[in-house]
Amino acid sequence: MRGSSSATWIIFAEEFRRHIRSGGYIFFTVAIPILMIAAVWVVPLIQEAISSEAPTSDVDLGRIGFVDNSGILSGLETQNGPFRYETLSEGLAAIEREEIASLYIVAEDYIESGKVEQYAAFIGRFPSNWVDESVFRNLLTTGLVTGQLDPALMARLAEPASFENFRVEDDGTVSELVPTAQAIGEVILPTVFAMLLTFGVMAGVGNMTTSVSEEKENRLVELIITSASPFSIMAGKLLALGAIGLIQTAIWVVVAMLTIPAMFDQIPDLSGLAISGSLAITIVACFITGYFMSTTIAILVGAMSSSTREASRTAPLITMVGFVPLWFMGFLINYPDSLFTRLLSYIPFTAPSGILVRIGAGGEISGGEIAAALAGVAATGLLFLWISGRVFRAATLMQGQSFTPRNLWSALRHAD
Amino acid sequence: MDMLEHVLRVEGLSKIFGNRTVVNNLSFDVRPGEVFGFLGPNGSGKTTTIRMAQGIIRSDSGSVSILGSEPQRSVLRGVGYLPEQTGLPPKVRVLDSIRYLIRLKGMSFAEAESRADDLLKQVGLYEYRLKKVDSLSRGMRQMAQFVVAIAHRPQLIILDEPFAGLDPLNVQLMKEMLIERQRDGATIMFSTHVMSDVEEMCERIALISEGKLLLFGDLDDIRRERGVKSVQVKAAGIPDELRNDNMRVLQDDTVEYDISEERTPEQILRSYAASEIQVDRFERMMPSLNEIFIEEVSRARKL
Repeated sequence: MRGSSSATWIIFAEEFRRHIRSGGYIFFTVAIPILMIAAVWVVPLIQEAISSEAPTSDVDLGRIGFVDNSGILSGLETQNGPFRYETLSEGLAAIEREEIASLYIVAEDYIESGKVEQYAAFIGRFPSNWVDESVFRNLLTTGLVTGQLDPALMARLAEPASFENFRVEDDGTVSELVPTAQAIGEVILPTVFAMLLTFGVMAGVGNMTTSVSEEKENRLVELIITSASPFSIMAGKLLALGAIGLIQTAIWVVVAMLTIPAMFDQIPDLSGLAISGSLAITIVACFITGYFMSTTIAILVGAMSSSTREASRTAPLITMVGFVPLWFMGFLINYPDSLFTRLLSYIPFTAPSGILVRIGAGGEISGGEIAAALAGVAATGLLFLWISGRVFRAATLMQGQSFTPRNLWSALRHAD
Repeated sequence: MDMLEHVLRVEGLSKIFGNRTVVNNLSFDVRPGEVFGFLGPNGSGKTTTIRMAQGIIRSDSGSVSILGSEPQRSVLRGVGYLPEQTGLPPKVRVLDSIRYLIRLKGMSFAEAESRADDLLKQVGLYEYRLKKVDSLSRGMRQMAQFVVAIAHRPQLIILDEPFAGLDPLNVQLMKEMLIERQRDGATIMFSTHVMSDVEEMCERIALISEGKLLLFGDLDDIRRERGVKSVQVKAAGIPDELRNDNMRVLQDDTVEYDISEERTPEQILRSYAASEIQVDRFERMMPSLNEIFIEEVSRARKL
């Protein structure tokens, strides 16, 4: 006769074969990498679109026309734009002929009132013409000070500061801040993996809850329990779902590791950003421990639910806890080492995603802290595995009885 | 295996759900190589007893010995079980789900797949082997589940309402396959409330109602113990003194007389002799199992 380890292996093999062939699994495993690969092409397009909207040093003055009723722009050179018109109707006719995109009418009492009418093809509910508006604002500033200041001073007046940022710590030490775009990239990187991890866990929890509750509901458990111990059944299922979850997340992580740097290469200040080896190890460790703990809780939910439908309704609550660090992203980014942020990275239920978000937020978390927190996650998973195995067996033993605390305690004591 | 006196023995088995006693101090045994009928009306505690016998649910009192041991996993691998409700996973292919359960009983992958294929051919489901379980009809699922119960050649096959939902052809096929297993040395125990199946297949029975044992033993002995219920006489005529409400003329002019203290089989035979009517056939009729079932269960419910 085969031992329980053999039963575990059989359950692992059969569950693995069953889940890896399921349509939903294949779809999500493939769909997310496709989206990531697509993003490599989409990000440059967005970047280009943003760049084309942004003001550049080579401002296209030919887009702008104006009617100067105040005389403040009388000294302005207008050969290649901005173009001067005598009346509003002349300017509007130029827009209609698409010679210019924006027309500004400077009021006669501009010095006193600051009033300027703006005519352009405004689009959308919240129209904006900030590029041309910004250019014309500079032209007005120039007009106001022409002849009164030297050209260098005028240029500085148009662009008064280029900030370089330094952080002053509590102990007085000073460090230079990375550029904003790079900082955003450093936040995005671990957060993307925290989200992938949570999605992976979500799929695993869903599969496990359904698998356990279905077997209980359709009485398959009656057949299995006579051949394998509850712990063999649980271990077989955990290994199978863990393996397919790991394969799925490994595919996602590898594709993300290849595509994210390619995306960042398209963005100024981010081209040097890379996924370090320690971050990669942390991501994998967070996934394995988080997945293990969540799926053992899923077994408990599946075993205690009276039907598959009830189990499906309860399962999302498990993954919702994992999402908590992502809900508080705004706070965590600004306070990466606050007590709350630390707690989220230590409490086993939130630690896997909490650690990644905290790393992304720039928190000071040592390798030892990460290892201790993830050991706590693994220990919690083992505790739930023990409880879940007994509850699973108890749920079978107690068939026909309600889950009263007394019945449950009795069944837990006698389950084997 | 050493010859056991009993492949299954339950003694003083009880189970209480809430404030309802579902099985009440039940004792019976099943002998090696026999076909044993476990009878009772719906809700009488048959399924609960079968589950307790295999350790699927725990009894509140009493003991179980199955294949000479307590119901533990190593022993239960020698048991094939067909539950009342189909337990195959609905979204899994027929072959995969059968192979999975057979492998858990100790067969290798290849052995399990080959055995499943053979049996699926035998029950006419081979062409459905790669279809999902939920695409099968109820009867087909029952037959697929039956394959799981017998595939690993168990010493004891326990079937809970095996013929429910099957068409007559599949009932006949399942009976033939069970008899074949019995010839190979397996013991078969099945629960049912269809008495004709029991009369056809079983040597011994246990009848329970509301969790209590009403009858247990050899089927022929039970019927004999109930005594003669009527006599059937095929003769050239009917004696005048026997013409009354306690007689019926059957299809082939056979006359059936109810037996009472006032009218014994001997008195009836004497009346024919006295009337000089030639008797072609005179048969003492035992009660049918169906009649015994109705009588015993009705009496138990009145108590």
